[in-house]
Amino acid sequence: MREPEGFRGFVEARYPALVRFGTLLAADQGKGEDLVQEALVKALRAWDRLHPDGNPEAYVRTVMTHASWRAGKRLWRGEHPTEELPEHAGPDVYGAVDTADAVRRALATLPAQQRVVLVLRFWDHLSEAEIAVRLGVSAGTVKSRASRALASLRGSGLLVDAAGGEA
Amino acid sequence: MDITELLERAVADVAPAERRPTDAVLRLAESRALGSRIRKALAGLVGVAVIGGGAVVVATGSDDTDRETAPPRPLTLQVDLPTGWSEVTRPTAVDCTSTIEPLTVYRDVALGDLGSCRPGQAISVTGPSLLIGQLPADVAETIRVAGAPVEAGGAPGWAVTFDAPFSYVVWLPAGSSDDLAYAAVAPSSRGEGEEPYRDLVGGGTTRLPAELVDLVSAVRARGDLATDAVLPATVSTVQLRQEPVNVSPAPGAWVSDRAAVAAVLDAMAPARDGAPACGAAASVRTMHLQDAGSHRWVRVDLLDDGSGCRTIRSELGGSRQVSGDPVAVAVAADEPPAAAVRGTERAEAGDLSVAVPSGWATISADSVDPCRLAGPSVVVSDELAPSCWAVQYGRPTQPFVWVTTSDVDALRTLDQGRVQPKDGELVWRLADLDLGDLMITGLAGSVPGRPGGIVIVGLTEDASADLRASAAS
Repeated sequence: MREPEGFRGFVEARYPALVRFGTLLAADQGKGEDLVQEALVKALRAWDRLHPDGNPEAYVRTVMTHASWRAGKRLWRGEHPTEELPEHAGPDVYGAVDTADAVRRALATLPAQQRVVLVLRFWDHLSEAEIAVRLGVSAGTVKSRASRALASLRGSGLLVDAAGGEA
Repeated sequence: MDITELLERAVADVAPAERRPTDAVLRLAESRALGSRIRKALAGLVGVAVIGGGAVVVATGSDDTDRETAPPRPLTLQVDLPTGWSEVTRPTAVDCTSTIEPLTVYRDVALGDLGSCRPGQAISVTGPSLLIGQLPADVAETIRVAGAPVEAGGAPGWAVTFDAPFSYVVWLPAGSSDDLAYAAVAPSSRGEGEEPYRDLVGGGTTRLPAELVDLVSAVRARGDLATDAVLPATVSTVQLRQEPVNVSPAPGAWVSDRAAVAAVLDAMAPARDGAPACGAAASVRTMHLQDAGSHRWVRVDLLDDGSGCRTIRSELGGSRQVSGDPVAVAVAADEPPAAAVRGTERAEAGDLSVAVPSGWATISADSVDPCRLAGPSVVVSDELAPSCWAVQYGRPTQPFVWVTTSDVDALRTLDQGRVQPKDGELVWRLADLDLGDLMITGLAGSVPGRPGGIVIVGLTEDASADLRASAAS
């Protein structure tokens, strides 16, 4: 596969941030990194129109978001959203277990579409209207997904200060 | 803690596992492109199914990229770098003369055959290290055939160990199309803080530094790994490997009757939903299933937890808790291959000839791969080019007789004993033959001091008696 000009520089510079974004979308680092690589393959094919005047990162993030949203319509391989949160979740969870892992496990209990909305709203700081446009759904759908996700996390004890709970 | 802080905490420790992401993406794109080209090639084909003697056109392809199935994602092996360790990411070749830096993860290694170093030759290693990379195809094949079944990077796989003159364990995950493997290497000391490496059947005796054991247990295989056991679509023959005498002697079996093969496969059906999970494996047996289409032999390990709960693991990937006892079914249906000499047809090469047993095929070619024979065969060729490691207790082949003008004596690497001198001319030995990259075990007959020979593979001494008696020079 021919390596187009500018592609390597973009990937090397933005890969770590994209992996963190993917990890949040998938609630799993391995799946998140897979998500990034699949999106980068699509960006590679579209590179002629993304570089140098386009916005390849926005393109990659959009591809990742759509893939995660579509995955919500079916189960990821091995992903089984559960009604109950892990036993370790509790008010003092940060003192007892590895924090990042505990939070990821809590996120993993959310259905994929709730997680996507949560990440776009509170990690990418998009408005409900912007999320609705990006995902091609109604604002009501966005609101309900975010609301349920926040409620689940509050129930876990992880989210003790529900700032942004109006979403 | 608010939701934004919660999300930040979720990825606070996340660092990419892929150290060369651009190269990984380019490889992935290439594999996707190849898959697409294959699908496009297939898209023009018209499928024809034969039903009751008539031909029915069943499908024509179309290239709908939205609905296409992506080809399997290539396997990668990844591990986080422990505190205090270094890493080498440049391509590195490791062979019997290499110097390995201690406390180092080598991430892109061309692993040589460290198990075949010459006497007095050994890698230089002063501390524990982890090597990740590719094995030569022939070395990977020997590990797939002879390795102990293990969990390798979270997938079914095999491991081979030895600890002289240095400690070495190499793991090969199933589903590795490019023979990706990882290896732990350490000096052969016996200091404190070392742990015995144990494979699934507890056969591994190599001791490794505890920190290296921790590290190799953190290696993860990523890619499209099957979950359920993948078996050949249609199986023509089943071989249950006889376990070596003095280790765990157990009978083998050869099953080629269609109904009996089906019975073995029935015993590999998934256990019922809700069946209790099996415990740790207490014993392991190895079967090989021959694919009726490709004629390739596929290794399937059968793990028994000692309470009758059984699991199979396939070389093609995946594992499954099964409903029956395939080993017992195979043993009950055992029908060892035979070579009845009835007709007068003979095969010959130079001044050597042998009778063609009834029902056997005769294949004449410059070079023949004995690992892909569809059935019992007499092979007349200058060269055998095996694609498998078919030594004793290794991968099976269909029984065959190789008649050749090549110097069989020169190929022998290990005589396992004289079997039967005949009239002072043809002398038969059970021997391992070195056929280039891979080896094969057979009864090799030759006339001392003269080139050419007859090699019988896949038949016992008794079953091959008529054949040997028919050989003439």
